[in-house]
Amino acid sequence: MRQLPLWQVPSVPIQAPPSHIFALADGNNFYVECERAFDLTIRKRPVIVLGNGDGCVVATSREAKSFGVKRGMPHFLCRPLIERYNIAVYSSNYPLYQEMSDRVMSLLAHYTPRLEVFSIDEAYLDFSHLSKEQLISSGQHVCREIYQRTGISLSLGIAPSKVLAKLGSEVVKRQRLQTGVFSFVGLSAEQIDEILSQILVEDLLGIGDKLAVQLNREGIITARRLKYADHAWLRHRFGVGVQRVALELRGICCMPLHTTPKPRKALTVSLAFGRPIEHLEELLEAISHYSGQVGVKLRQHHQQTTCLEVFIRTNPFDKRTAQYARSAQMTFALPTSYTPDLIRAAKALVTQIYRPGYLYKKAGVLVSALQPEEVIQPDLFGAFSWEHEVRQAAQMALLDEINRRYGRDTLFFAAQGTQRSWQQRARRRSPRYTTNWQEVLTVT
Amino acid sequence: MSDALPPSSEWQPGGETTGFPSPAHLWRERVLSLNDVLLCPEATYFVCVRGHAMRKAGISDHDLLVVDRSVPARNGSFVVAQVETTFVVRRLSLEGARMRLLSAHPSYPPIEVEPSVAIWGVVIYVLHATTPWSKQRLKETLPAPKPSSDPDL
Repeated sequence: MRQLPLWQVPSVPIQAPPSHIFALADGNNFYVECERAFDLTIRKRPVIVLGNGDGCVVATSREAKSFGVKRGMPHFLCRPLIERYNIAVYSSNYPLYQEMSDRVMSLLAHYTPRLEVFSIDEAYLDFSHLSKEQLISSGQHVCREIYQRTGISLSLGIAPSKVLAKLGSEVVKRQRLQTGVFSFVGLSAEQIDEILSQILVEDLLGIGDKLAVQLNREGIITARRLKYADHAWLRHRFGVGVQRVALELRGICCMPLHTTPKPRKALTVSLAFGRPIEHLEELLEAISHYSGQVGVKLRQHHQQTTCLEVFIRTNPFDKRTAQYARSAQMTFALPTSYTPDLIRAAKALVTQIYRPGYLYKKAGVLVSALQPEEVIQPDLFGAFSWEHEVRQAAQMALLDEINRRYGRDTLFFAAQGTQRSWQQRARRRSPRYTTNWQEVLTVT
Repeated sequence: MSDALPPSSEWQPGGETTGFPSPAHLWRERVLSLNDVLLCPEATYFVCVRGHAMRKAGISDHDLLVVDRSVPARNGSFVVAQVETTFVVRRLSLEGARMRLLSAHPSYPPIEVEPSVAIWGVVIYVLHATTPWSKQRLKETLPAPKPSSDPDL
């Protein structure tokens, strides 16, 4: 395929009539704002939220960011900053964040015929029914109402494509627009290009870090360059995904709204330990526990797996200790979601890759090649018994029902351990104000 | 807690009968729910009362408050407010620029507060237990009391 030099590509973009209008609503520092909703004294204070057993920063307030705390930073590295700037530190309170997210999403649903909940703090609203003149004022209305009712402030980007809508919300954040809304609709091509020239490709929806590096190597650094790159060449060189992003940058909608999530292809349970683990016994216990959780998730989504992978690793931030990381995987003859199968397989793999003398910090179980429960492909070489399948399914259904009705972990496998002293502790978690009666706000 | 979770079958309201069809089946209506009396469920929270500061105003120890954060507080509203690190329920008094939180008990002096910073939400309903059983139920459900410096206890 011929590569057109970028400067020779005709500058007149393909213009499609903007039949779709999307608005991306993005919660500003969502986890932090959830914490602030229940403590007014930290509204002006820098705040960070820790994840993964208080191991690293998962969210920062704007102030904390300006003091140099970044997402993904290990907790111990930011201790000096926390002290110097009096930063409020929280463990992540996922029950609270999920419930607050549900509140925001259920309010957003009032303002659009179709809503795609994209992540815990992002949702696409179909705004196609609104006239051009109504877009901005409607967007501002949404932001005002949501803020007044939940305390969560939104950045809303409005555009004829999802990629641009996401960019719009990014513009709101960068320029700190008070109204919370930025619309690409009605802007001239020059105005749009001016904005795109300030956005790096890695910040675009659908462009991962690896792709960004490859694009950069071809001289495509900014979103504007990507927009005007020859899209036949893009498709040939990087695949249809990148071509779609480029077309979306031109305002051509290639990513429709999905109101129901696609079935997952893979799922992972991986967590850091509360303390480093040295012995195989504890590692087996942890990995069994993660396998149990994988089983629960699989059955929840009515899926089965044929491929299970296990990984263990030491703490790469601890420079004083010896480092080790390894993974191993195996394939099941028949797809399964039967917890004992998963536990047995995972334990065998861990035993295989475990080496004594290291301090393990993290482990995980990953299942892939997921397929719906109904599809059963009997094994050519026998071993399949319908009755056996049914009995296992009934056992797991009972287990899940008991745990659903009487609380998580009412019933679990002995291999998962009873003490679980390796389990991470969230020491600074705020109360679960909205999901646990014992933890509701108390007033005097 | 086990007595609170009776064994139950999978039966759920909304289905049809297996034998003789229910003559009322087509007339089944949505059942009343306390959520129907909320102004905005997404802005509503439960808050539990400890202490006697508002007893004479009808809010007692162990009552459950329904608080709406989207309702603007007016002079005389029952509000949940944050005073330093603790939350209180009081009656809001607005006299010009002066904002005070008034109790309904002589042992609790009025609290002067900065306007616009301290109000967390407005109390829209008070759930008060009137039988020994319901009192016990509320007590068991809500957070255990912390050792407090309540002057009236």
